[in-house]
Amino acid sequence: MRKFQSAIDARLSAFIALLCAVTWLAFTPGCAQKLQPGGAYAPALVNPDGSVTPTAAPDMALFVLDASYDLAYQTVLTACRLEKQNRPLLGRVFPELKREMDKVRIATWQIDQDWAAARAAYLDHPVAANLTAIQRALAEMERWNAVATALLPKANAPPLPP
Amino acid sequence: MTTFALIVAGITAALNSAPAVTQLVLQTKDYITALFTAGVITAEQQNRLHAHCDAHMNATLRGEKPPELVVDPD
Repeated sequence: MRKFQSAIDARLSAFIALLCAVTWLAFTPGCAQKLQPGGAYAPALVNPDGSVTPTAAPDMALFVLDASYDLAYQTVLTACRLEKQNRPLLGRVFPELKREMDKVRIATWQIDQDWAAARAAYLDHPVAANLTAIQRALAEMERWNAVATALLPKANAPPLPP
Repeated sequence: MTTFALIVAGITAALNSAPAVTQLVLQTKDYITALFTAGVITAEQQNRLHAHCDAHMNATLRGEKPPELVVDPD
């Protein structure tokens, strides 16, 4: 049990560190990275002579938000999957874990619906106000990601508020 | 490479040495690679991420909940 727990600890700690890294990058202005014209976030026309003419301004903000959100979301899913796959074993030692993870599941699903609606709105009308809604969803997803990854190795954490 | 990139590279190397490499780790590697590749995020990398997020967004808008988020009865 301790070996299993420390294996989860190490991997989830590394995931959290990576998530912090990507989040830092998401909210740090002036990244040196550029979007190659012709990609989905930097649409462009390829002319007959092979040259490329951008058809819209590159959207680095959406690229970083998409990458950051997907990472946070997949990390939460991984934590939820780990709990489900090992529920009988974990439940014997941490009886409250399923109930606490279920709160994470409910919150994550709601946030994901908010994110999907915000992203669809932004794609339909790419203005700053619609980007803000995606950023809010990202912030919430990262908050619950931290909760989920903290729950697994620390089953004696205080219960979440109802 | 910046110090920050070195730290991230170290973390990904640690993840890679784990006995079971999960799909999340592979996706994370793609993101890290994309963010730090010679200052240019290629069209292919963009298209892959955009298509992935589109599929996720559309599935969620259709109400398709992944099995990990299904709340089982107690």
